[in-house]
Parts: sequence; structure tokens; C-alpha cells
Amino acid sequence: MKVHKYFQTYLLLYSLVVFWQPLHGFAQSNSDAAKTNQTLKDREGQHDFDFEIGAWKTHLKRLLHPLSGSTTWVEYNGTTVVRKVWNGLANLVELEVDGPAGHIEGLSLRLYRPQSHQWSLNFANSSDGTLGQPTMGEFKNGRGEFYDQETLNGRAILVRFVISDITSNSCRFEQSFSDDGGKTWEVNWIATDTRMKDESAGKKSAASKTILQSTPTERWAT
Amino acid sequence: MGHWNIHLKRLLNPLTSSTTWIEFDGTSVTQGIWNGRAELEEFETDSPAGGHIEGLTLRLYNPQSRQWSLYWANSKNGVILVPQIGEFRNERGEFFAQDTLNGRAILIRFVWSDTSTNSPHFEQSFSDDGGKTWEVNWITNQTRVKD
Repeated sequence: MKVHKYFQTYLLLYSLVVFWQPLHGFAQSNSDAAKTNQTLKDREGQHDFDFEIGAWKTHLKRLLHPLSGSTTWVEYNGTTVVRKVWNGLANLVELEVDGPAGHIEGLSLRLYRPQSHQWSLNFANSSDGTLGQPTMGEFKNGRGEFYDQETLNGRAILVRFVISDITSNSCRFEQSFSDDGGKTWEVNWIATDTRMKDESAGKKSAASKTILQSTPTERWAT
Repeated sequence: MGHWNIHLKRLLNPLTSSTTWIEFDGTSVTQGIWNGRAELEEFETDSPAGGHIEGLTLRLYNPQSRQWSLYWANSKNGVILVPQIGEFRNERGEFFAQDTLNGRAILIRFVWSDTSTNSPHFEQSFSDDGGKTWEVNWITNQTRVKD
């Protein structure tokens, strides 16, 4: 088992053409492998949200009554401000949007778990000031997918949050619910962010008000 | 809110009758969110005794219950713990949670005092008897850093 593990490590190192030192005997190489492995781990994911640091204009569409057959969507406009915490190992998203259906003020605290290379996205709405169950997941090929199980109208459902279409000036967030264990998904939250040119304006408006990115619909209801 | 220098004392092995404390220093920065209805404290220490700890506390106000929830996380594992929930009365804040220590359910109490001064005091205590007796195991004194 151990040998297998070492072998995997070597394969991984060579396949990624990672910096490697000459072997100095087994124990030494083992400790080097551990170190390099650690470096790899650090690289795998902890900077995945760096692209989002800053101030964004947010357009949001929200399905009012998810998983009910309804197709009534409401729209909001506002701002999203993302700042680094712990030098990037975590970040705080503040979202504030307004629309005919009301005002949404939320936050998301995202934390990186170095052991699993996963992020947890912890949402809160200012109307109840409580962090919900986090969605957990990671980025692959420029697309982030995060999942959790929650309760909607008394039924356990799956929640999927997807971050995609990332460019230097825009990105997209979608939340979907599944009532059949992930076989089918209904989108109920679509946010598109466009980076603000004058970031200081965004910071100012965020400081006076606030916001977040996206979260289960129930929590956002104001 | 603001920048603070902090001095910490930690009981190494809580609820074991041990009286071995370690002391170390760190810094803390707290920023407001939602016009003061939430705040984020970032905490860092890098001393020989304490090791390198990066922590944070997200504090959220629930307007319905008029209580605060204090969520603590450590950068080592990026996991948010069960919140301490409570409120301030007469400039003393008490926040409680149930957690597990060595497989046993215990109660945890946070107490903030002297909060209207420039040197607030924080204590964490554990109780193994449903809150009848408390053992203090973490004490923080902090001083505001002048900008």
C-alpha cells in the first residue's frame, strides 16, 4: 500500500514536470516527496478565487418558487465586492442587489480546506444573520461546482452551485436544486457579474451597504 | 472594530485538571459588514509558544432573536465550527455552544467584558456538568493599535 502510494507520488511528479531534487536515498526522497506533495496541494485550489477579488456589478435573476413548476422569475441589480481573507486562503463576498421583488443583502464566506483541496461556501442573509449549511466543491477546467443537501418545504433536496464563464471582467453563477438525487436540476438563481472599472466606487458603495453572491433561494427571500 | 494587539493565555489540556498554560502574542483586525450587523475578525499569531495560527470569526446579528452568532474558523482546515450564540447585557457579552471534547459533549462559553474600553477582555470556558461549573481555558487581552 505504502509502495503504491510512493509510486503514485512519483508518477504525479513526473507527469506534472514538477521541480524535483536528485534522490538522496529513500528516506530523504520520501520527505522530499512529502514536501513537494505539499507544494502541489497548495497549488491545487487555494488560488481558485483570486480572479474574483474586487468590485463587480451584479445582475441577478431568481426563480421565485423553485421546484413548484412555476416559471416566475424576478430580476435584481446591484453590486458584489469580494475581498481576500488570510491572504487568499479564504475570501468574503458581500452582495447587495435591489429589484421590484425587494432587497437582498448577503454574504458568503469561502474557506479553503488544504486537506481535501475543496472550498466550502458559507452563505448568510442579513435578514436572519445565520450561516447555512455550506456547499462544498472545487474548480476543474475553469468551472467551479459546489454541492450540499438542504431542506426545501420539508423535503431533502440537493443544491448545486456553479461558477463558470470566468474571464478577467465577467463571470457567471448558477444555483440549481434537484429533487431526484441529482438526475435532473432546475436552475433558480443566475447571477452575472461585470467588473467595475473604478473599484474604489464599488468599495465605497459596499462599505455603506452590502452583499453576496448567491445562496439557496430560501435564505435570500427578504 | 479596528486593529488590535492581542495577548493570549491558553490552558494546554482543558478539563484534565492540568494547570499548564502557554502565553503568546498576536494581532487582530476587525471590519464591519452590513452597516455593523455583521463583522469579520481576522486573527494571526506567530510566536514560538503558540505556533502559527490564522483564524477568523464571522459574527452575524439575528434581528429576530436579537442574538449574535460567532462562527470561528482556522485556516489549517478551513472548517466553520458550531456557532457560539448569545448577546450583550450591561456591557458583558455571553455566548454559548455545545461541542465535543475527547468524545464527550460539553458546553462552551465565551465571555466578552470591558468592551467599552480600549482594552477588552475575552475568556473561553468549558463545562462538563451542564453549566454548573466552568473551567477557563483561553484568555485574550487586547490593546487597540493607534493608526
